[in-house]
Parts: sequence; structure tokens; C-alpha cells
Amino acid sequence: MSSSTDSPTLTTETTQLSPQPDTETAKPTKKITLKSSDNQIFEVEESVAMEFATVKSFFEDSPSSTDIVPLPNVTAKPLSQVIEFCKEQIKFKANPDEAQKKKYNAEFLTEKSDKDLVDMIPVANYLEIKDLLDVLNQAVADRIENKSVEYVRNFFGIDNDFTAEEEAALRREHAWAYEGVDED
Amino acid sequence: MQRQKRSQVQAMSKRSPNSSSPPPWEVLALLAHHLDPKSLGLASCVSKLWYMCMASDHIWKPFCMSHYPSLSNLKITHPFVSYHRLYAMAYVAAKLRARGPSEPQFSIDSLIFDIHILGTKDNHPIVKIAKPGNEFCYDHNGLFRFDFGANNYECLSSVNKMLEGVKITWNVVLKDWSAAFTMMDYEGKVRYSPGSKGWFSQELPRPRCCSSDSTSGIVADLKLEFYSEKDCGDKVRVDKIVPLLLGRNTEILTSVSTDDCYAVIVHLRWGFKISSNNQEQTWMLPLLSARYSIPSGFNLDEFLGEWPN
Repeated sequence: MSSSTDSPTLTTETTQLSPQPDTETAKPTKKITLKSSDNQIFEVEESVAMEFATVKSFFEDSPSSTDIVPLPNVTAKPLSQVIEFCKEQIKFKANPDEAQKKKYNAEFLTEKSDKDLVDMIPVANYLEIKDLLDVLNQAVADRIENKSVEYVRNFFGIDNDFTAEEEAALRREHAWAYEGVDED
Repeated sequence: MQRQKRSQVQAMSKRSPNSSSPPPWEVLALLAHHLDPKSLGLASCVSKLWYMCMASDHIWKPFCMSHYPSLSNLKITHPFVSYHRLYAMAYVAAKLRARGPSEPQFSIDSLIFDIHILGTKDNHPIVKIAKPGNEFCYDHNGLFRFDFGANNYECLSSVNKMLEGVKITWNVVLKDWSAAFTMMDYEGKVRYSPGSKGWFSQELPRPRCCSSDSTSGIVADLKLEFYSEKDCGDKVRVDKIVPLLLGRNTEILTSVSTDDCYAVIVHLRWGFKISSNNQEQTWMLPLLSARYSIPSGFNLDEFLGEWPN
């Protein structure tokens, strides 16, 4: 373990390298520019962008970057919804109010179409927004609970890649789950 | 190969360019934690990727352990069986047990009992009876058994006290003519003399699997009794015909239900095989679960497949 001798130096380095509180108070409204895969530009406050773990680590790797952050896997519509959600979460972080937060989250989710939810999931996943991914998964789980296989395929836009025989075998194996499924 | 490629292209072009991309596996793995067992079971059938994510052991283990700890133990002795499979088996078993035997598919009123007895020596018909089930009054000792007086049927001429060959066929026919089951198809001997009794017994075929017994334990019996009338001279008449279904383990017959009608229906279910509808399954279950205590997860389709059409 040759690195063990280096570790004291490393810690001092990291403590020195933490002028963040100062920058935040000095420039509280620093904006970060994100670009979706369909070339739309989003300017968001730094605090919101830091909710996105992916973006955060981008700035941790290159702290001085002022470039536009490209998000090649993310289209504008779900991105705008994700930003909307995160903006609210920041407010709750500043003023914790669990009841209000729950109410907001529930409203946010119920007004979204199935497609909106499904589209937001990969975005939340790519940007690594754990809280959002959690509530999205729960919302989607609620919407497909006790629904038929065809309904679920349709919901997520998934092609059936089983052969007829494979599907028949699965159906037999899962006959217990197929019983009493909700109407589509 | 080419065809496969084309169908892939078609599948992709079905979607508009801005339509959703299906969730990647790492998202599915997270989603799986939000689903209940039933929805997980359905989700396993969505696609190959979904099967991989939704049927995995680490998702099912907690469900299996908390709901069905006893079957979960099998994982220790049989590490290759999946928790997902164990859960499905245990779920079905629990449900079957709670439900008990299902309602009889038919009542005795929907059956016709057809009994035909032929003297083999000269092909002389001794008895020809087709009796609707609703005309029976049956024994209430827990056995499916009924008598019918046959003295108005055939009068047979016999001077001979020797044993004579008879061929007995006993069919049960559904009144809508959709099916028949042969309870007995037997050649035996009987003495045509007053007061004599002929007993004919034939065991019903045993199921070919899930029973270590070499016999089915269910026997169709038929008793033939003769008497003579003074003015008949040498002739005797068939006095009584007693068809009887007897379980070797009669406790089962009596414990299934004290209702005789029900008991026979249970057995008929065991015996009937009607192709083309999936009702077969419901027919078979009560008896199988009552008599053979089949292992849960036992594939009924395979079992049914063994029955001759």
C-alpha cells in the first residue's frame, strides 16, 4: 500500500479545495445552460442543476467550465418537466414541509400522461435524480398494477420479442398472475 | 435472417421518432421494487429483458420468504429452482387449498346411465337400460350406489344352471350428448338361476402419474340378481341391478361430501376426458387434490395430455 503515505497530503488538498460556500453567497443566481438532444437551450439556476448528479459531476470534473452542458440522451419536453419538478424540490429543501411536498409530488404525477411519465424515467435515470426516479417508478408501478401484459407493453412501447411458443409457455407458467387482471 | 431483420425495421418504424424509448434494464430493476407479486408475474411476460429483470431471485426472495417460508426452504435443497417459481407454486397451492373442491360441473340430473348386458352365448340381450340420473334414489351411506328393480325388463329363458358368459357395458352419458364415459366394459359369467347373484367388478383406469399406487382405487361394481316367478316355469327374471362405484379408500368418498351426488360427480370428473375446452382443468382438480395430494406446481396440462381421447 504505497498510497498510504500520500493520504495526509490528499486530505489537506481537499480541505483547501472547498471555497464553494463563498462562491455560492457571492453569486447566488449563477445559471447553468443545458442543451437537449433536440437542440433546445435551458437556463437553470445552479442549485437546480446540482440536483442532477450527472451534471454535478460534470462540474466537479471541470469546475471552471462555462460551456453549455450537452445532454445527448434527453429531449426537451421531459427535460422541462424534470426541471420543473426539481425547482420545487429545492424549495422544499430550504423549507422542509413533508405534507406539502407529498401533495406537490402527487399532483405533479397525477397530471402527467402515461407517456410523460415513461419519457421522464430515462431522463431521471440519465441525470441520476434519485428522488424523482423513485416517485416516477412508484407512479408507473401504480398505473400498471394488475394490468394485462399487453397493457404494459403498450404503456411502455415495448415490442413482444417472445416467439408464440415461448409466450404460451410463459402464460401457462404465470396463469396464476393472469387471473382476474383489470380490463385494459 | 433477412426476414428477422426486416421485421425489426418494421417494428422500429412503427413508432414515431419522438416516441418513448423503452426503459433500460437498470430502470426496470428499480421499477421491480415497486411492484406487487401479481404485477411482477405479469411484468415477467412482457419481453425477454423484462423477464430477466422481473423474475430475478433477489426481487422474489423477500416475497417468497415472507409469504411462503416453508416452500422457500426448497431453495436450500434445490438451489436451481427460482424463487419466482416457488412463489407461483405456493400461491396456487394456497389458493387451491382455500377454495376446496370446486362446484360440480354437472349434477346427476344431467347424466344418463346406460347399462347393457348381453348373453355371449347367443348374443341374447338380458338387460337394456337407459336411465336418467334424476330417476334414481340413492343410498345415503356415503357411497354412490343405487338399485333399480329390473323385473319389468327382460325375461330370460334358461334351463341351464351352468355359468354363462355375459358382456356388460355400463356407460354414463351426458344428456347434452357431449360426452360419455365407460364405467365398465367387462365380460364375465353368471348363473342364470333363481336367487343367484352375479357380481361384476372392474377397476377404473388409474392415472398414469402422480400416484405411486398401482391401482386407481376406484372400482365400478355391478350386481345382478335373479329370481323366478311361479308362472314362468324354467325362466328366471333379472330382479335387481345394482351399479356401484366404490372407492378402495371409502373414507375419501364419505369425507369429500356426504352428498352422494357430489361424490359420484367427483369421480366422474376424474374419469371424463372431453377435448376442446379448458374446463377439463376444473374438472380434474377436486379429485386430484383430494385423493392424490398432487405436488403444487404440478402441470395439469401434461397430465391431461396422457388421457386417451
